[in-house]
Amino acid sequence: MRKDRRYRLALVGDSQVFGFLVGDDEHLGWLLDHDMPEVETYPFGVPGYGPTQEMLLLEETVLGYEPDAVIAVLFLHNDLSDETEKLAYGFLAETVPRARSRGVDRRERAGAVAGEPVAGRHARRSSAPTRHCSTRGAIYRFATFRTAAAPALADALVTLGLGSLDRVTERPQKNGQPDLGFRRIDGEGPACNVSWQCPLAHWLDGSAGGGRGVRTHGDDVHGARRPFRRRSSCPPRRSSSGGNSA
Amino acid sequence: MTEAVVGALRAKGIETLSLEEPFMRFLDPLDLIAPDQHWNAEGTRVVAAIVEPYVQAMLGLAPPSTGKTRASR
Repeated sequence: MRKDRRYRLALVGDSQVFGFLVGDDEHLGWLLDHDMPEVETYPFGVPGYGPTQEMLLLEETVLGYEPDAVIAVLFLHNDLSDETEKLAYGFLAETVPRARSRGVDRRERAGAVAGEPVAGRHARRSSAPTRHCSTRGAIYRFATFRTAAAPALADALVTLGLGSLDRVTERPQKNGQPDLGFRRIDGEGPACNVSWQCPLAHWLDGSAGGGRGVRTHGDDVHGARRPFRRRSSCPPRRSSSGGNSA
Repeated sequence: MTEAVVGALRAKGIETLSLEEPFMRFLDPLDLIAPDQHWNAEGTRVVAAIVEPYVQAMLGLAPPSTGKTRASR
């Protein structure tokens, strides 16, 4: 299975990597896996995670898959907020008023005066500060590095106070262990099976500290949440020539 | 904070890629994100198209011979 994949890529991040509210064939991990035939992509996106959790996940789980490269998807605007739980599951307090982004309201947002024609393409542009403000929740920064540099990434984040084991212990846990969940891809092509576990689901449904009223990916888009199936062991490495070394 | 993180990572030999400039090139970046500010399906495709060349370069893979068009709005 997937013997043609020469390299492994791991994605570490939060709900953006998880693919909040997008389909199984639309999230970042699937797209990278699909578009780069030589790269087997493992998406480890957990909604609500910040740098602390992501670095622990990297160390405790991701590196066990022996990726050749890792992308840490960092949201530097709110990752600190993630860790202080002012923000749950990637939701910002200030949301984009999407309904106002259409029709006349879009013209208003672009700076057009009511009653005046909107002259050409450029008139539709929002001012740069407005666009930046409205989209800041989507502006992530990708730290792309060879796996060997993973400790350096963790060191850098800890140095800046972005990594703290104390904060991790404040996060909801399940059975005494961090409630990790991420999407995974088995197979490829039409037979590709994507499964995931919504992490911290017990927290969302109110059984651990009160629900946030936040809907989960599985609930919203795909009906019943499908179970996450852990690998029984780390999958074997592929040889650089493309064959399966196991 | 952003510059501090980027600087610290760079000091460790890790470069970063920001989505800010690529997203701001779009006529209306709001078309790339859902109301809750997560990337929507189109936004995610754009992000993938931005990231893929960096991954390929890092792994020593040649970029695809045919140009991708999905992020070329």
